Amino acid sequence: MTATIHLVDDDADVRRALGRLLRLHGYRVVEHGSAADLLAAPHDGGPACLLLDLAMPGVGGLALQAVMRQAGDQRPIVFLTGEGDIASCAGAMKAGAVDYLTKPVDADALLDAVDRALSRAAADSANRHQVLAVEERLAELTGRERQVMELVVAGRPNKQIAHALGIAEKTVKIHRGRVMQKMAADSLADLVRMAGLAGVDPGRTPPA
Amino acid sequence: LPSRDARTTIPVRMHCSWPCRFLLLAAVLSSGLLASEGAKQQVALVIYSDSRIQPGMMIIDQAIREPLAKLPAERLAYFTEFLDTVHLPGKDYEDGFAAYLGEKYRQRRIDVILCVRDAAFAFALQHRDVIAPGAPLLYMGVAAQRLAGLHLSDDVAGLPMEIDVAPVVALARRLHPGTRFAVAGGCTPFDRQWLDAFRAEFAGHEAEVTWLVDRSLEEVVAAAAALPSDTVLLIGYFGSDALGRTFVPLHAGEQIFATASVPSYVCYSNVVGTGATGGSVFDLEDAGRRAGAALLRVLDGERPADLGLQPLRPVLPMLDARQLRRWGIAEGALPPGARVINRETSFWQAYWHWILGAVLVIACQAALIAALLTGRRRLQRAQAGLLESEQRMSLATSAASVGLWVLDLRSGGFWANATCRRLIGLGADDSGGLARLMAPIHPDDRPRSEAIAGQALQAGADFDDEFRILLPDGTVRWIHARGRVELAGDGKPLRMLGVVLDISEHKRMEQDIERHRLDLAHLARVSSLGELSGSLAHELNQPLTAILGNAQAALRHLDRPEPDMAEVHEILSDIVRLDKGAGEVIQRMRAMLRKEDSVMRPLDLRTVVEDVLLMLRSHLVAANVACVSELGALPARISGDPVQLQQVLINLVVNACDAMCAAGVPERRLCIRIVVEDGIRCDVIDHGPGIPPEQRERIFETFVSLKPSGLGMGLSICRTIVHQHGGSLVVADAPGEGACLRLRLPQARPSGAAER
Repeated sequence: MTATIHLVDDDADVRRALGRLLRLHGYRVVEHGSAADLLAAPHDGGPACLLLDLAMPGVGGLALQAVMRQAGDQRPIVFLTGEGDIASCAGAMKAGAVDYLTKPVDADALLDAVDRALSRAAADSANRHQVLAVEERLAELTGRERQVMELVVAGRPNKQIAHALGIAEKTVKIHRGRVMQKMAADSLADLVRMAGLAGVDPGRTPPA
Repeated sequence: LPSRDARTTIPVRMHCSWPCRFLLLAAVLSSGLLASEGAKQQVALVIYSDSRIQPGMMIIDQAIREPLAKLPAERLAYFTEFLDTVHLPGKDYEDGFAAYLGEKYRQRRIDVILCVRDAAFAFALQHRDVIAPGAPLLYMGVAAQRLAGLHLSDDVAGLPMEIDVAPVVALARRLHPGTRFAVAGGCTPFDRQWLDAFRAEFAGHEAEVTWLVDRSLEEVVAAAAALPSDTVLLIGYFGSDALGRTFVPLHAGEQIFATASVPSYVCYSNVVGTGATGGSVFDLEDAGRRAGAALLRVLDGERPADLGLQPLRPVLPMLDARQLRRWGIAEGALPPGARVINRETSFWQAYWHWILGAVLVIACQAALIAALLTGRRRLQRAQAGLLESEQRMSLATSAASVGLWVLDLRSGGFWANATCRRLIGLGADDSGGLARLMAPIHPDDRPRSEAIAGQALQAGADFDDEFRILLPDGTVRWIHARGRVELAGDGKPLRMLGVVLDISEHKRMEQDIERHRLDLAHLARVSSLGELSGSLAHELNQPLTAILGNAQAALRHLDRPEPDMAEVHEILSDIVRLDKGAGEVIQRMRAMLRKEDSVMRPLDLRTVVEDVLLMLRSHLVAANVACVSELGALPARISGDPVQLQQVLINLVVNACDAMCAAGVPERRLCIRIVVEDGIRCDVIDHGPGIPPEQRERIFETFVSLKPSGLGMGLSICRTIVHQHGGSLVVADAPGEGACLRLRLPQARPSGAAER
């Protein structure tokens, strides 16, 4: 599937030139004259990244980034800016920008940044599939099994788990077996990785 | 009639010795004949007792004729005869003379006879029938005492003479109060009549009087010379002395008066003047006139008896001025109407008309001389004043470096002072008219100056001009010329005159000030460009970014085995276009940074605003300000310096942005509106917090800023620039809550002709 690059700049000439360059390297480029245009455009869910001009009339690049993150849009962003001031650069990077390029931008630097952004997008995309699977499995666990799992990935031995949950050690072993089974975990390490993907907070469950 | 009397009583030389003692009876003719003659020439005969040449007779003759002169010569024939019995006594003579007269006037019928004094009257009375039978007879100067006993017919009447000494005594008393008297007299009966009159006058006062009578003339003279000083000598008549010698009374009197020790008073006017002090005397002229008047009335037909004639009396006070002086008598004591003879006529009295004339001539000459002198002095003063005024003027003009000139428009000749000649480099010329005067003007300024001079000449108006003079050595001098055109009576220009001032220094200062102003404006521009540098870099970055992108895209195209040349061409075209755009940005920036003299040229203010918005686009974006421009469809024609006006607008826009950013206004909108009305109006309206009314004028002051970091130079310089353009810059009431900065500029003519 061809990756899409959303190019957002109020200057048509810049859009036209950069768009030309990116298309030449096989990317699909969608040009937007303003942040509003981008937000209004349909989101097909395929691999995509954003090339955002930092200084635009109306909603600027940084504001757009914030709006997108708030909306759960995780598409990676490469910023383009006329003036490389450190404050806005730091803000952008902190908010998860892939890169921060100063105009006029060299083609190689631009392509490199776009590549990185797209690979991150791809990685994000694979990751998201695993998480979905783990979350499906987690959903099948009973409450007790979920509690046992949290304590297990937290590294607690069975005895402590039994004590914490106020149940017999034997019962803990049975729950643990079911969790491994339901989660299709090959090993404890696998279970820990899945818990990490799904954002399960180890040992969150308070002692009974 | 006793001839002896006639001889003795009529002195040869006495002109008024007419009182005689003749008692004459005349045959009187009817006077009725006279009246019937009417228009016929009438004949009057006047017979004098004395000689023709006697002065008294001549006076009387003249006085008689006075009233008769009223009658024309054809009405009256006037004859005179002189009996002269004093010199020619004797009855035979008188009879013969009468016969002679009768024969003489037989042809002419005599209408009236007038006899003067006693002898003539006696003669006429006796011989009237021979001389003029029936003619009325008039007389004058006949002694009244002699007439008293006569019975005269009613065709005989006249003016008798009365002997009266009261007046002379009264006069003497008046002039010599409390005086005693000495009376002298002769021995003839007539003399004694006078003495009798004196005796009667002094009756009862004999003690006061000394009588010098019945003596020889020598004795009388001696006595008169020894009279005491409190005495006055009176003489009535002195015809003969005690020795029987007869005298002309005048001569007798002369001897007495000459040595008399006291003043003497007499009764005959002719004696006054021979040494007597004066007297109350008979008036000869008056008597003659009265006789003449009576004659006239008789000729008119009146009867002599009816005339009511009054006697002659010695009542005229007459005095000799020399004697008055001799005896120390003041003229102020004289009675009213006194006649004074021998009054030494003063030089003035004698020659008053000459003196007056001379004085007048002298006065005229003096006036003329005075006028000439005054005129001369005035001229000198005026000349001195003129010289002084000229010197002052010259001093003033040279001190003030004022050049003066006057041009005669008819002859083309002109006058100019030294300063003027020096200032405009005239040399010694004084002709050649306006063209010569304007020749030194700098070729660049001359057409305009000529136009101004031409207008002034045409309108006959004042003019005011500034121009440069190009001196032969290449020096340029600024001149301020002011003057006026004077019109002749026919309304045509007659003269042109004015002053010229060297304003080079002034101009230099003006230029310095202008340069400083420009420097300041430039500094402000550079400073504001510095503030805008980020935005401006962005303005350049955009095209550079596009160019770089395009160029690299093109390179990659070319790297391909089969490059898409159409695409490359398109890319290169874009690059060219973008590069030009970037060039324009740089151009604008360079213009703003350039330090040049202000150049006014026709402009469309809309273009200026558009350029400014292009320059500020990035800034507006960075400030997150949305700018709306409503520039209108009509060209906003002005005359101005585009760079300076851009500077003004940049200032206004940046200020507006700063105001809105500082206030944290969420919706930052800016509107630039151009309205073509009476002039060009450009409003810059923001949606910031606005400007408090009390700050509206202050913000244009230097070093006053509403911005925390503002220097307070921007608006002050803006206003200076706008004023330089003949416009205004104020804070107007904003339609909303923001501020509205209003720029007004005069509208330029559509032709676009640039003003100086």
